[in-house]
Amino acid sequence: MPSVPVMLLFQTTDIPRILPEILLTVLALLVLGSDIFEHWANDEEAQRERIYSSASLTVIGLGLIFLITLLQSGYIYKLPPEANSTTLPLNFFINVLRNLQSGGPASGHTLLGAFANDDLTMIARLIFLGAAFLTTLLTVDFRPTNAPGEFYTLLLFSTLGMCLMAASTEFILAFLAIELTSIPLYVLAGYFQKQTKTAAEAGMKYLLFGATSSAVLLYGISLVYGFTANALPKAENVNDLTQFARIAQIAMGNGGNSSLLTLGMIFIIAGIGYKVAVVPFHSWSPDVYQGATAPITAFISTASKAAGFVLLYRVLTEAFPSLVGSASLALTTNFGGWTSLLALIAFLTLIWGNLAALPQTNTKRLLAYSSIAHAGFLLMGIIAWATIQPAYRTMGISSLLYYLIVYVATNIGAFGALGVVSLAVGGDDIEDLNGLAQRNLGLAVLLAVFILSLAGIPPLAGFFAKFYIFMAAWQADATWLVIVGVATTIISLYYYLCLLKAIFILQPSSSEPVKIPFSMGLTLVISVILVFLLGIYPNVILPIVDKVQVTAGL
Amino acid sequence: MEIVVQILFMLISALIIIAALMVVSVKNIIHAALWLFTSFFAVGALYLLLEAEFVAVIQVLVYVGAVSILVLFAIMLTRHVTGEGQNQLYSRWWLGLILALTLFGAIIVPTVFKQKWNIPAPTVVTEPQNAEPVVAGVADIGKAFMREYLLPFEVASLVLLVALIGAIVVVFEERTERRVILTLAESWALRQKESAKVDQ
Repeated sequence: MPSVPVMLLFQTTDIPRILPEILLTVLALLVLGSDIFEHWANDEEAQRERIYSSASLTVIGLGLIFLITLLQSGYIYKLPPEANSTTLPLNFFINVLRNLQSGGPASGHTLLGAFANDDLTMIARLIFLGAAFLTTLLTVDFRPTNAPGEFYTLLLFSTLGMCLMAASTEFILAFLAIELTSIPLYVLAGYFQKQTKTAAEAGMKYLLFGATSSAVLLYGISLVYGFTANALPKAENVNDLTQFARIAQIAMGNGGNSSLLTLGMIFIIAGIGYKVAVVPFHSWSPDVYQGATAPITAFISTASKAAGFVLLYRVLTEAFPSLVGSASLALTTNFGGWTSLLALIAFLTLIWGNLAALPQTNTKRLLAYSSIAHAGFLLMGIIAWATIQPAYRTMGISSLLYYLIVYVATNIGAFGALGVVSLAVGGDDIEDLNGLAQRNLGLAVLLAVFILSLAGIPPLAGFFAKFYIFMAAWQADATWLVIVGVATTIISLYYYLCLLKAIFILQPSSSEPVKIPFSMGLTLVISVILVFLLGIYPNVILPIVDKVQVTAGL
Repeated sequence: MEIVVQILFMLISALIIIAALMVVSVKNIIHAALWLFTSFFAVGALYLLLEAEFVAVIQVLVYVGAVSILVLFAIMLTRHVTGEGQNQLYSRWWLGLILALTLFGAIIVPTVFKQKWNIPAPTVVTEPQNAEPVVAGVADIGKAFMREYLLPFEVASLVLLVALIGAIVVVFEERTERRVILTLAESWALRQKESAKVDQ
């Protein structure tokens, strides 16, 4: 067996680099184990106590991990480098912080060639941890009575899978991370089958579609592997053929234009496209979003989608930079390659997502189509890679991340507010929102803010996110797509305003006030603060998001 | 020698494809399961043909040995729940067939054939004791798991754990709602009792 370069092996200094993942695993096992020590009984009081203890452990743990990751990232405060350290008092805490930040984002370094520890990973981790934190707060009042410890464990493992998905720079790890993300979500989608009749159906549909998409993805990966292994001069014993950078290198050495590689890439895009629900592959999402309970829908539609987009970005830009093509419709440019494919998918997604949302009568189904439409906008951030200038490419990824952060905050808020309504009223139809303003003005205003932000109304975060991502796509010569995007945004106003009409103008069927449970209210308040803050003062996030280095390709 | 391998490959592939088709088309669910094991077994033979002995053994051990028994058990225990003898194909199966064949025939096959495969000519190993084995053995796989593939290995273990938890959560039933599953002897006794009742 040929000796492996020493750099490729796992080192002790690599432990801080995957600290958030290690902590998440430990927390998940802790939640799983601690459930044993609870009082197991069938009466209401004992069940609630059991749920609260699991949930509070999860919330506190996620909050701590979020803070540790934030400290480690150095986005708030970064210790000066070693040379200036004499100005600081040398005490225990400084040393801990220094050790922690030694695992902070560093571009160009990967663990075992499989796990990139750069700013993109760091920001994505913070998004997923934040989303999981908010989702956990939402779930408490939905009472996952059937094995609450396992419920939160699955949620945590799914978050862990998302972190790995965003960080993976190698196909084996990427595939395993996708599975680690999806398998808990299949179970979670069907979790409340006693409370909601549709939950089991949602879980089953999600499982079947997910399994199919995994098969498609694996087929694509195997084609790409066939290409790379074939392009090497002779049968060498090499282990890095699944790494994105190596694939790009081999593709470039081979002229970069192989139909086999392209075919593999198309299958990979289709496989990940299922996970992020873009149009030809979207059909599972309305059923699953409608069937699953509101907090789980919030988690699936935000965090899992965000993870899919980060992975899609990483795969396409790091493994297939040679097939980039162009998103412009002008005849002089080469229309072809993955940016054109994504532009086509984005076009279909925008049109279909927004048009199909119009006749919906179920709020969760409506928001499902709206979230399909948002996937179309998000694709524009990846399409921005079609330009050659690095500055505009950076703008593409930073606008994508900004949009993701805004989208996660807004959608968790919107689904959370709908969850409050469905807990109180017992249904998810638009009719159930009728006259919400008379039953609870605060909740009505919060929900209105989230809906307006999804629609992209100026002072709110949704507007700036859309504006920024349109700008990035415009620079990449995808002018036609931007025009389609603006037009469909106007169409989308109709169904968003229909929701607002139901909330504020129509008469309620009963005048009984709607109560907001404390923990759900906390989520709503955090989300609404984020929506306002990011909309009015985007400079909080922009310098952080801009740090993401565009990896050198082409 | 090469022609023998080719013929063997053709035979095994045909077996896999036919078995897989039978799985989704036969009406009896137990027959479908048995065809599934045939397919698993043939895949194991394919691994053997590729000189991946370890993977072949694991395939037979895990899929043919363990998974198939589990599938049979699951079918037998839930047989009275699921409808038996239902047609597995939905009414517009030919549409799916046409789409799949078009995709396969018009896109995948031409692309794969267009690719110039530089398959190294089979070399006759003259001195087996000096030559490095090209095919990974168990020891090499173990080393790779602990070295280059440490991260995927750990993640795979977590995936298995999650699948285990998920499966338990899905099938877990509260004691009050547990469905009683009778053993063969019990169901026979029950049937005897019922027939005795009818006779009276």
